[in-house]
Amino acid sequence: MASRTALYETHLALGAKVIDFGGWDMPVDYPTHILQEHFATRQNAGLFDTGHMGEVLIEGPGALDSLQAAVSRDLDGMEDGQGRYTLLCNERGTVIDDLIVFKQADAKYYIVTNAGTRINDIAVLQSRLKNATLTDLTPQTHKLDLQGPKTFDIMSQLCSEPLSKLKRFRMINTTVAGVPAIVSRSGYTGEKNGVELFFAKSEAVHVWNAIMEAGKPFGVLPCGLGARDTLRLECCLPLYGHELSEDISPLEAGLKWAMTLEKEFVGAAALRAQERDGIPRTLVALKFAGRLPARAGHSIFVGDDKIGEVTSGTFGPSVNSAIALALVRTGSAPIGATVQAEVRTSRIDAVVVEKPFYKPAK
Amino acid sequence: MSSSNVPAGLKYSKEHEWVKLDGNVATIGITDHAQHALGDIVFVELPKVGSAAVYMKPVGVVESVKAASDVYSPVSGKVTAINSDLTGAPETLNTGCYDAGWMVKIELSNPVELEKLLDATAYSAFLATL
Repeated sequence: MASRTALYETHLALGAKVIDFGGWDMPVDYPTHILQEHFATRQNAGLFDTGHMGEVLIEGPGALDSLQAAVSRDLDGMEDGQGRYTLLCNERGTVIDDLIVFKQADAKYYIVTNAGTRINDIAVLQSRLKNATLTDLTPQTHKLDLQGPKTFDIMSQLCSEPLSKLKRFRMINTTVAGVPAIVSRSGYTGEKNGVELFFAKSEAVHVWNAIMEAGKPFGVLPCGLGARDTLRLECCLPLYGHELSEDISPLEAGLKWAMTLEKEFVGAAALRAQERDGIPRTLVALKFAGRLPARAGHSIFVGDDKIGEVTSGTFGPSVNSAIALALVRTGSAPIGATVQAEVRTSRIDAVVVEKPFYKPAK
Repeated sequence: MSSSNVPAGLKYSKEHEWVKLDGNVATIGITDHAQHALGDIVFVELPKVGSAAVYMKPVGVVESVKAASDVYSPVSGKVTAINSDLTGAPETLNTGCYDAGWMVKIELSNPVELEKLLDATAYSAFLATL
């Protein structure tokens, strides 16, 4: 049977359409459907159940050194509460998962993982620890994402700490609706204002209801995985399994910024060699004139030459056109070039554009 | 789950298409249940006028934000008209699936097939089993 978060019954009661997502029964949308949920997040606020994701604590005198050798990004010089987006790679330099590593205190790191990859992430991290312990906090932790311009208006009704000074990729300890919680200013929608909340799983329904209640005058909507995907793809945020995988180099995916190649970490040598030799493929952003979406796996052509495939594709509501990310032969599709995506039996034109497709206002 | 709108006077297929008969011409579309299950529709692919429609074979495609779904013809015959308004306004399938959202008109070649379709009561009963 598929896994369910603590909010499964809540979603059903709201009329959610539930689908299987990597072994989890998750809401893809509610009766409001994806477009309304997407626009609510861009204009007001969207509440997402992300309780399927993982939380892992790494502690001990060897925590920093172990993590430096384990993940791609330099973790030196982080302040308490600061987080950095990083990659967990294998020896070949390809990606096991993308993570956010938060430093809670010296020798104490709080790591957020994807849902389907969590068990493997834990095994890999465990194998890379020296003088440090790993605790899987996921079974007792629930996570929610509140994203959009009205996030802090809503949170100020519910939080014991003022969040006005919380900077991006920083977390603080506070209470939300009376429940002790970690709040980080981060998310997966591209919105500048948004938080991820981590708290006791037993309080999931209470906190969800409190946010929905406090958010009602601000136009909050519950949002499913469908809107989560349109929001992230408009901002060209990678999705593990699509733009990141054990078959795609993070250099191909344009994630050099998430790596410190001068550092010694698992995969660094292979990645430095790739950088030196040149990468065979590049991830490009494609904008279509119309609304017919190309989907993951659809082929991309220049004339009769197949240059690659779509990794993610959907309709981008904020840009009112179909959009896609595609992995193509390096140099075959420069910015401004027109390519064709093969969707069923037709070839539709798309233009290679700068990333991201959409930039949320400050 | 809120109850679907199932107008009397139409015939229905188990693939969630509706049929309105006018002499030997059938107008078809997708039902309220279908449009709700699909979510926001962003693109509609319709057949060419003059092409053949075959009972329970795809006669069009509806693209929602998340996925593409085939529309199966509930009757066989010749496509005599398509609703080209849907090209510019695919969301009409969500807001007016039984009127403004009609998709294709088909001149029947085998009216006996109509007996395989459900009336409103039978289709509503079928929906309750899903």
